[in-house]
This record gives sequence, structure tokens and C-alpha cells, in this order.
Amino acid sequence: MSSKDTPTTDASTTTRDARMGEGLDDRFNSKLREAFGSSPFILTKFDKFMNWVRGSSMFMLQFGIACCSIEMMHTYAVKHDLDRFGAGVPRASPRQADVIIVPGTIVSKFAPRMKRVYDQMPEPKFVIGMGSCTISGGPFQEGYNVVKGAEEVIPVDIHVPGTGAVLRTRPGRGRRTARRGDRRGDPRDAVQLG
Amino acid sequence: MSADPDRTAGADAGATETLPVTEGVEADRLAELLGDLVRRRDEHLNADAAFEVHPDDVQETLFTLRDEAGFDHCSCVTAQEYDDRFESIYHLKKYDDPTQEVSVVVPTDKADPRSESAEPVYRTADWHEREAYDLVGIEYDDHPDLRRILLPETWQGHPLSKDYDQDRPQVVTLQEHANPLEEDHKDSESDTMFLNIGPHHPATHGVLHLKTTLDGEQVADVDPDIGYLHRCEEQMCQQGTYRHQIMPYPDRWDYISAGLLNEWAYARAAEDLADIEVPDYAQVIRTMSAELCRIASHMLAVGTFALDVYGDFTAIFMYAIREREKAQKVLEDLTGQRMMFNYFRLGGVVWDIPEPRDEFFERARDFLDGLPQATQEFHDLLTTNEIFQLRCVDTGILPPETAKSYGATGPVARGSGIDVDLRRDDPYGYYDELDWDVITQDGCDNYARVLVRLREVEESAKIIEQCLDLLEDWPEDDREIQANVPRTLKPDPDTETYRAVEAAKGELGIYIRSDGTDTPARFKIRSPCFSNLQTLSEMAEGEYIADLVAALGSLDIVLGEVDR
Repeated sequence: MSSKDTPTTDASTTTRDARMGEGLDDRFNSKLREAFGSSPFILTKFDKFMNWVRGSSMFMLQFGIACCSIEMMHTYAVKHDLDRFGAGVPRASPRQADVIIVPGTIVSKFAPRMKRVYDQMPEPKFVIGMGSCTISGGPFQEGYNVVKGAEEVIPVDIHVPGTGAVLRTRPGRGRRTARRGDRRGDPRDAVQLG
Repeated sequence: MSADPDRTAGADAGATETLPVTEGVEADRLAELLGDLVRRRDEHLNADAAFEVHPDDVQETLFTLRDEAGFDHCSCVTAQEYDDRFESIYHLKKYDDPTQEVSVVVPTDKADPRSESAEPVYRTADWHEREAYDLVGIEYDDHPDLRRILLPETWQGHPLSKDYDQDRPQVVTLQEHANPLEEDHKDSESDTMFLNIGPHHPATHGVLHLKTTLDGEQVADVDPDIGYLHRCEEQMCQQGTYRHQIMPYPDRWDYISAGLLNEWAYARAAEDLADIEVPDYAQVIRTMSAELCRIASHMLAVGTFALDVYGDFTAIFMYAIREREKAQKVLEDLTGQRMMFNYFRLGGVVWDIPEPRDEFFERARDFLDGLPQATQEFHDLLTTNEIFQLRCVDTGILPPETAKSYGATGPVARGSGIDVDLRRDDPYGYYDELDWDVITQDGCDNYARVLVRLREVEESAKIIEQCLDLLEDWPEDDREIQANVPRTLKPDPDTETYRAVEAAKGELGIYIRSDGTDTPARFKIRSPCFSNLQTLSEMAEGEYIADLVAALGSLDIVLGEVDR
């Protein structure tokens, strides 16, 4: 960019050059651009593209039920920083949310309410069941009041096993949900406890 | 606070405020006081004085005990069914000296279980008796509002009674589909409005439903509707064996990383029941790890309270989580878990400090060294902040007498100037050998409760530091982590005890009755949040709706523990 035969340079160019240093301007050259090569066009399936877009910014519902929600809060916060995946700000309203993480035991009194919250989310919507309680009722399965898994009430895309599900299994999985499209209930996608 | 050069913990225990050892209550004197009201004397391990009274004499007995003998704390109401009768037990204590305990046992008829309500004597009995009615099926005459509390209104049967059939399907409807603004809410004179807060709402800290009636912007009436996380913890514990199967559940009562404090409650009750001595070394580890849990728990309380008052996931919440992460890291090193520790065992802890020990001590000390700076940050950002003070000072007022009547404990009681802390008043673990203070504030408002929590973090850090010193210097051949406990524990039949510890939120008590098998016949959890939450309507009614949210945040409830 900076060439010797340019007679004068204005102030802004100088500072820009100073900032960028010698060489090519690579500010727009992301990894993605490298993969595309010289052509600025890409050819892809629309669904695939949309999934990529969605997966890059999944808005989560601020939905705390039980123990796992504490670990869920930790994923938003400093150390695990879910904002890296464009999902750092939980939405208080289901109408703004793409994904609902069900973080805890569902009991009889709460199940209809959860269904209602799920119904209020706009399509396309995804559900992550966090912890054993949302798979089967977990340690409380034999309880008189406990719903034996979130799947009894709403369709779950991804199950994260573990009780007090270890949160390092979770970041990044939201993107995977989006990529999954509508292949609901595929056991291959169940995340193993990390 | 870590600057204290005098680290010879235990040596100067005389400096701490320890109450003189009392001989329990003078049971005979109380029996004399009650006279003919006592039909029979019962035996409870925790209380010498256990009196059986007639179902129609409940109020008279309790009034006498409260007004003439000074038992101003109705800690818990336990209901249970025997083969031939129902029974309600009122566990009474004194705020001044919680080691003085009385149990009032009220047996009722099997066919028609009815007894007099204790609500006119202790306001806290309101919810406790509703729970007893809901789960066991005892009816209380004179109760102002006897309906289900944890289970849905439409539930059939009482799940902890003997004839309950769990396999019968239950129909639970969503009544909120009905328009809550029914005709009778409208009034031409006033402009009251009905507002549902929750059960899915960011300010309720979980799944709590507040039925609020507003008059303009002021709260005319608030009725907390709980039970959205009633996971049958008592049933689970009654199915589990003492030795191993119960211990994982306490982690899930107060799940804000306060697991070890809860485990201790169960451990203390069961050790009392089976008469197990815990080695000193294990007690020190317990004390240290429990206080780490308290720091983690209070940090989240402060962080989420700031979230409620300021409104977004901003600095204070992140700072609070940062400190929690550090505490959790230390706990993870020790127990292998971030939240669901399952670390205590009856008679001790499951394993020793991880090797290399030096590394563990170093990490724990690093955490403690950073803590004064962190708490200073909280004081800079929160307690000295003018906006925060505007929101919190003189809002959510809870006078001490009201707090006592509702059975409030923990930081909520201490924020109202009630000097009560079971770690000091009813010593367990290694607390009475260490040098620390009980924090109280006289403000009775939201601000006072936050201050109590922040300063308790500093006290906890003091305790941990002393424990670390003790552990470092502990002779290697004397590191006994568990007492010798039989593999299958079968306490003697019909032994009853009620033991409480100071959990992060207050007095967490466990009542256990054994029947000679390896599982408890009755396991009752006295949750501090359950009692504390009852004070909400006292604090919020007549105040602005925004102050209701602040008051709820300052109570620091955990729904897992409220609903159990």
C-alpha cells in the first residue's frame, strides 16, 4: 500500500501505515477468506448457510430451574465466556430466544409452565436438556412429583448427561445444535460427559 | 484481614464469643410449668424436654412455652405417620441460646388427623403446617389458610402418608391459562392490578411464582406460590441408606455451591443418631471446605442481588462469578467436583487433602490473599455506591420481632440485628476452637443484609486461613479422616433427633426418626429459605414493586431448598 513514489501522504495515511506496518492489508482476510481463495463468491446450500448464520449467534433463554442453572450462569460469565459464540447475553423473554437450555429437574407443577414458555419461542427453536434430570429425572426419578425427563414435555435436541452437568461439555454445543437442523433425537449427537 | 499475625488458632479460643456450656433445658421445670398439659414425656436425642400434648392444647402449650419460658423460635414442624397415629412435632428453640430445645409432640387420631394450629403463636407455623397438610395429610384447626403448598391444588392424596399410591396417575392442569384478572379484582374505587411474577422470571432466582396485587405502583398484597421445584427430597432420603445413599442428595438442596454445608447438616444429624465421633482432623477439613462453600454461596448472593438492583450482567456479577470460580477451583481440587461434592461421609470425609499437599495449600492461600482486594471492590462498586444505597437503605424493612416470629435465620436474621449463629451458639465441627466473629447489622433493611454477607465472607476467609495453618502442621501419623463406621448402619429403633447447622442461608435442620432398618423412617428437612421466604410479604407490602424485587433478592433464596 505505501509506495515510495507517492509524493505526499496525508496525516491519516501515515498513522494508518504506522499502525498496519509494511506489507499487504490483511484486515479483511479471515480464515474464511483464505478458504474461499481469490473468489469473493461462494456456492453453498442455502440451508447450510442459514445454519451457519444461526449457529454463530444463538440467543439463549434466561431460564434457570435448578442446580444446573448455576453452572449455566458460569458459562455466561468470565471464565467460560459464552459470548465467544455470540450467545453471551441471555434473553429474558422467550420471544427473543433461539435456544432453551433446560437446566434442571422438571416437576409436575412446572411442566405445563415450561411447555408454555417453549411454545412462546419463535421458530426455529432448539432445546438442550442439561443434566440427568432432563434425561430421565436423574437422581429424583423415583419421586412422586418428578417428570421423568424433559422429553415428556418438549422435544429435546441435545442431551448433556451428568448431574450438575460439567459445564466444559457445553460451550460450542450450541453451534452444533444449529448445524443439526431437524435431525431430532439422533443418539450420535449426545454429548459425553467431559 | 489476613494480616493477623497471630495464627495460633485454637490457642486463643477464649477470645471468641463462646457461650457457656448449658445443661440443656431444665426439662422438669418446664414440665412443672406446663402442668396438666403434658400427657406423657417423650425422648428425643436433641431435646431432654419432649412433651406429648393433646391436639386441642397446642396453642396453650406453645403460648406458655413462648411467653413464660422464652422459646421464641419455632424452628421446624415435622409431621409423620405411624402405624397407629399421626404426629406433629414442633421443634422449639431460643434465639438467645439455640442449645435449649423443646419438642412438643402432638399425636392425632389415625382416622381423623386434626390438631390445633400453632399459627397464632408463631407466624412461621403457617407454611410449615401447610406443608404438613400437603405431604402427610394432617389438618390444622384454626389455620388461616390451609391449602396445598408444594404440590398442585389438584393433587390427589398425601404422598408421605402410608396409604399413598405413587403409581396412580395425577392430572396437573395449567391454571394460569385462566385469566388471572377475574371480576372481583376490579373495583371502581381503586385501580388495583393483579401481577404474576414468575415462575419463569429473571428476578425470582429460579422457579418461584409471586402472585402480586398492585395498587398503582405499590404492592398491596404478595402471595408467594412455591413448589415448582419440589423434587421429593424427603422421600428420596427416606428411601436411601444412611451410610451412602443419602449423602449425594443434600448437595442438591441449596445448590449454590453450598453443598458441603448441607452435607454437614445430614452428617450431624446422622452422627448424633448413630453416636459417631468424628476425628479432629476430619473436622478441620470439614470446617475449611464448608467455609469455602459459604464464600461461594455469598458471592453469588451478592452478584445476583446486584443483578436485581442494577439490572444486567455487568461488572459486579462478573466479579462475583470470578471469585466463585476461584473458590470452586479449590473445592474441585479437594472434592473432585465443582458443585455436587458428595465429599462428607458419616464419621468424616471421603479422602484427605490431595497430594501434593503444598500445592493445594498454596492455591487455597492464593485465593484467600486475593479476597481482601475483591471484597474491597465490592464495597467500592456496591455498598458505597449512591445509587445502590438509594435502592437498598431503608427498603425491605424486617423488624427483629417479625423476623423471629417468622423463624428467620442466617444473614436475614443477622441483618435485622438478631445475634444468632449456630456455629457459635451450638458449636459443631472445629468452629469453637477458631477465632472469628459473628456479624450482625442493625439496619433491618436490604442494605444491612448485603453488608452482613460481604462481611461474613471476610470472617469465613479468617476461618479458612486458620484451618489451613492447622492442616499444614498436623502430624502425619495422626491424619485420621474417617471414624470407624459400620458398613450397614442401623440405628436403634425409634430414636429421634433434630440437628441443625448454620448453612449459607441460615439454620438448616434435619429431623430423623429411625425404625431399626438401614433407612430412615422419617427424614424431614428444615430449610432456612423456606422460613426466610415467608417474611417477604411483611417486607414488601405497602412498598413499591421495585423494592419487592430488591427485598426478594436480599433474602437470597434458593428454590431447591425452599421446595426441597
